[in-house]
Amino acid sequence: MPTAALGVSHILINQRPGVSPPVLFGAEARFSSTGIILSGQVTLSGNAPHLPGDWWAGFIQVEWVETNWAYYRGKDKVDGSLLVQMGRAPARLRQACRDTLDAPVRQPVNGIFYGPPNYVWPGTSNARYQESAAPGTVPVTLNPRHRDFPFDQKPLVRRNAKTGKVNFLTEVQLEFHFCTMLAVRDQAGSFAILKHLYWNLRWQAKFEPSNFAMAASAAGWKPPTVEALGTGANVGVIHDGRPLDARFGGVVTALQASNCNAVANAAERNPIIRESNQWDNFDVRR
Amino acid sequence: MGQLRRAPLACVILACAFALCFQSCQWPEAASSSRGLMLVIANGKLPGGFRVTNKGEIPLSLDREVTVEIWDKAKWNEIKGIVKLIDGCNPQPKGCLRLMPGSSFGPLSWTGMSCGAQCGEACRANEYYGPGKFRYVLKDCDGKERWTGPEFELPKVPTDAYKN
Repeated sequence: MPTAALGVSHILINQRPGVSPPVLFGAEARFSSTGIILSGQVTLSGNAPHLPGDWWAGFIQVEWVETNWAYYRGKDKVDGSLLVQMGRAPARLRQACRDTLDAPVRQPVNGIFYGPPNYVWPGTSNARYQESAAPGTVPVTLNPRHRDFPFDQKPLVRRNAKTGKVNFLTEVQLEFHFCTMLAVRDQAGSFAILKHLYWNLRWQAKFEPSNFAMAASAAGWKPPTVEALGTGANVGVIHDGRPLDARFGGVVTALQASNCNAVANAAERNPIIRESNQWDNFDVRR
Repeated sequence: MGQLRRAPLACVILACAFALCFQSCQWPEAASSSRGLMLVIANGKLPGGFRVTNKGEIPLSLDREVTVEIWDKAKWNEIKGIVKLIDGCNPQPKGCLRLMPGSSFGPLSWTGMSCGAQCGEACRANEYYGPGKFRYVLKDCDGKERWTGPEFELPKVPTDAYKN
């Protein structure tokens, strides 16, 4: 019976991840990234001149830890303060999740790969999230691509239920840590992880209204102050094989109900909110 | 003789006005129909921002779903399900948008992203459609009329959209 084997594989980092300083827009602070772009290369060989059945190469991505809190303070001490925690349970029930694209470039979370098959990146001739090898001559080389531009936002004002007063965005910390893997799915649906790399995005910034009466929109705010030590992006070296990391090993190819966007948006909708009737310090670790 | 002298002068004035507008403002594109429906779609200051104005004589009912078209491989290709005619997110307005004659509507601008396209969302997996050339296509609620907006460009990097 003819079988296929995995030959040489590579990941090339086309664009290292980066973060942009937060931008105040409308009624929110926006945290944009300049994105990570990767190219993969997988060569399939075999013991027969023809490849048996459908093979697909692509990237799998997991987010394995997230920090996500926003601190708000009233104009005066008696207006109170509050912490909105979105990175800890029960707002975020588990840290690790598999990351797949939502509509309109929709990839169901149980499609495992980050992006859908047969989708050509707009503005490119043939860049695809997944590449397939139809039955045919081996060896054959597949060149899947990967790109991600994580984004988040925080409302500029929230009402403090303890004081009944509007509290204003004062400080935000966001950290998204990812592991992205080059993988092949064989005709039986089994995945082989060939290479992987870790990367992350981090923002920490302070905010202050310039005009409290106009602070419901960006026009009433000073430019954000970026905390240099808490802001940046990193990408690690490329490792061979499957990551041996217990923090997210269970979600790499497991069937699951929610992707990372759904997990994060659920936390945004139901955050942990701790309120005080004065300007308080909160423990952001919980 | 007098008519002959006035005609070139009118042409010069028109040409100057056209040149001035071409330099200083985004040129809106309008489509009209025999039913007297006319909608002008004008680009906003930021890439992805736009405004629609009913320049006709009867009210318009607009479908809130906006088709984004991207210029790719020498033709316009549709991207659906991203942009809507909404000016708020919590809650998002539903149903057709009623636009009276002479009135305008400024929807939330498109960020150029697949996630967090207009409203704030938490996006860990996210597709950016730029850089490239785009335009918006609007329909009325019964699908009989179609209006195409002027072209705009998304920058290379998503955040650069906010810097203009």
